[in-house]
Amino acid sequence: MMCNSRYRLLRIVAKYSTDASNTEFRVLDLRKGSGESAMQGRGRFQKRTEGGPQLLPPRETRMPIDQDWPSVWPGPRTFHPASVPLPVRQGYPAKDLAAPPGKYANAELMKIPNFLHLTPAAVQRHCQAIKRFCTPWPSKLTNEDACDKYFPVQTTTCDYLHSSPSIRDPLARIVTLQVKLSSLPLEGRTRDKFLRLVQERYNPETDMVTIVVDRCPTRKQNLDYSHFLLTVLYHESMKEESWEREKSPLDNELFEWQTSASRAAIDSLAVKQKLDPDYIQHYSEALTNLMNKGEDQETLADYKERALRLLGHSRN
Amino acid sequence: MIGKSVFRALNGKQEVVKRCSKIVIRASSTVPQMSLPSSSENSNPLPFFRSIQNSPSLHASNNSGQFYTIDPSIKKQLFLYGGIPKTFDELCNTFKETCMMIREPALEIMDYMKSTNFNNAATRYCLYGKIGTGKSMTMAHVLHYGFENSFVIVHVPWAPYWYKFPKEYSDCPTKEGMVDLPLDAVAWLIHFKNQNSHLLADPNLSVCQDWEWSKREITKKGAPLAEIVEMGINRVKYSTNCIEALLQELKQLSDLKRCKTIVVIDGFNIFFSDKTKIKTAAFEKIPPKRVTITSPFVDITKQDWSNGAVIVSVDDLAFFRKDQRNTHYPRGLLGPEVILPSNQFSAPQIPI
Repeated sequence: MMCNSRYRLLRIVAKYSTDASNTEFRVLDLRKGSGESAMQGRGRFQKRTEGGPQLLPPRETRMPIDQDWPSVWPGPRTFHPASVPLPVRQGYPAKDLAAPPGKYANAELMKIPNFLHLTPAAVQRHCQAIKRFCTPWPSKLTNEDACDKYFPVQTTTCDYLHSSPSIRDPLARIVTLQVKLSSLPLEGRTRDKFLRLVQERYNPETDMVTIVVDRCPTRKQNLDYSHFLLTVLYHESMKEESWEREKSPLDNELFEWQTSASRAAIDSLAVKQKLDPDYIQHYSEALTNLMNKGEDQETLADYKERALRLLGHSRN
Repeated sequence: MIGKSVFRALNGKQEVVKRCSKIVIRASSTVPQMSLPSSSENSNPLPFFRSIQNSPSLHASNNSGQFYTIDPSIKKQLFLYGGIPKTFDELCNTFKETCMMIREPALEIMDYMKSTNFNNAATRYCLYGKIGTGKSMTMAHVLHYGFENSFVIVHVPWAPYWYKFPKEYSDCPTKEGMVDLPLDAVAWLIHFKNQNSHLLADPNLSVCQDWEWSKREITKKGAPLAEIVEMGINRVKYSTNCIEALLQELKQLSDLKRCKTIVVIDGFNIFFSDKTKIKTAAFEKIPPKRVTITSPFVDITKQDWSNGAVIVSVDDLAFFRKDQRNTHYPRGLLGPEVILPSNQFSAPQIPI
C-alpha cells in the first residue's frame, strides 16, 4: 500500500535523536531497520510506532520570549499551531465537561482568519513605513466634535478582493452616507418635513440620518447620487407646499397648547369669568403633559389638581 | 352568605365581632363579659356600618364607608327608568331596601358642588375607572343629592342603550342625513318628567322663547316648561326636537338663575365613537354624531351656561365589544377629537 511505503520512508528518514538539547547536530541514520529489528519481516502491515513518527519538537517551544514577532509571522497565513507560542483552544468538546479542543489538528482554528500578522508592533512598523507619504493631521481637528463640525457628512464604502478569475464584486458599489441632523439648519416645520421624507432612515438616539445607495452600477455614480439625494431632501424640506397648510390638529405628533381647541375654550371662558393667568399657564402645562406623555395616575392627578385650582374649586 | 358585624364596645375600645353561623364572643381578661348588642355605650341605634344620615346633602367624610338607605318613594321617582345598575337593583329587591355605600368620589363631587360659585360656567366632572369600580353608583348618589337640593335633573342612565339597542329609528324629516330615535326620545322625556315632577310645577320654569314645532303647533314664550315635555311625549314625531328645545331652555333658565340644573350622563364616551347599530333607510350604518339625539346632550355639556353641574362617566363597556379600547382613562376613551377644556376628573378606582 502506498501509505505504508510512505510511512516506512518517514520512519527511516525521520529517525532523529530526541535529545533535550536540540542544538546538537542531528545524526541522519538511513540504515534500514536500525533500532527496529523486531519489526523486520513483518510484511505489509508493519506495526505503527507508538505515538507516530518521531518528529522534531514544535518550534514554539524553542521561541524566545523577546523575539521579533512580525518577522515570525510577516503576512496573513493560515494558522500554524507549531509556530504560535500560545495555548489557544477553539471549538466544542465532544464530551460536555471536557476542555475545548487544543490547537493541534484543529480545523476550526485553521478555517477562521487570524490577525497574527497585525500585532501592534507590526502595525506600528507599517505606519512608520507609510508615514513619509502622509500629510500632517489638520491642527483644528482636535476632538470628535471638531471633526463633526468640519466634516459632517460621512461616506462609507466597502472594498472587496477576490483571488478568483475576476477581482470585481458587485457589493463594492454600495455607498452609505451618514449625516447628523443637528448639522443641518432645519427646525420646526422644515425639520418635521425632512423627517417625514426620510422616515426610518433617521435614528433619533444618535441623531443620524443614514442613506444607503446602491441603485447605480458604479461606486462613483452612487456617491454622486447620494450627494444629490441629500441636497434634494434639504431643499424639499425648505419648500412649503400649499397642501401642507391643511394639516389639522389631529395630524399633529404632539399636543400643542397654543393652537389647541382647549386654549380657545379657556379663552372664551376667561371672558365670562375671572381666570388667573398663572393658573391658566399651569393648567396648560398639565394638559400638554397629559396629552403628550400619556395618561397615567400621575399625569391625571396633576391635571386634576390644576384644573381644580383654575376653576377655583377646593375641598372643604 | 353575608355575615353581619355587630358593634360592641368594651371599656372604650371597640371590637368587631363577626356573627356568621354562630355567635362568637371574644372574652377580654380585663372587662367582664357583656351581652350583645350593647346600646348603652354608643348613641347610634344602627349598626356602625350604617349611616344615620339618609340625606346626601349631610353626608361628610366621616360617613365614608357607611351605607345609607334611599327611601322607596325617592327611588321610584329618580330611578324608575334606570340609574341603578341592574345587578345591584336585584340585590335591593332581595333585601327590600336600597342601600348605597357612601364613598369618597361621591363625597368629593358633592363637596365641590357645595363650594361652587354658581355664577361661573357649569363645571364638568368626569368619572372614570375600571369596570365595576362604582361609577354608576357614584352617579346615583350625586343624583340623589341633586334631587334633594332642587336641581333640575337631566339624567341619561346609560347612553349606549340608544345606540346599541335602539327601539326604533327613522330618517329625520327635517335634517338631511340624520336619523331620529323617536321612541327613545319619548322614553327619555317620560324619565325626565318623572324625575322632575316636583319642579315642573314651578312657575319660574317658563319658556324663554317661542318654539315652533309645525305650522300649527307652537309653544309660546312664557309657557311652562312642562308643556314642551308634554308635547314631546304626546307627539312622537317631534320628540327629539322637544328634547333639544328643553335642554336649550334649561341652559338659558339656569343662566338666568331661574333654576339650577344638574346633568348626569353615564357612558358619555359613546357620543364620540364611530359606530352604532342604527341604520338609515338606505341600510347604511351611521356614527352617533349623525343621530339627532346626540347633539342636545353633547351641547349641554359645553361650557356656555352657568348655575349647574355636569357629571359624566366614561366607560370602556360603553363601546361595542370590538371597539373596546382596553383603557379606563378618560382621554383614551373620549378620544382626541373631544375638546377638553376644563374637564375636571374625579376618580372612583376603589373597587366596591
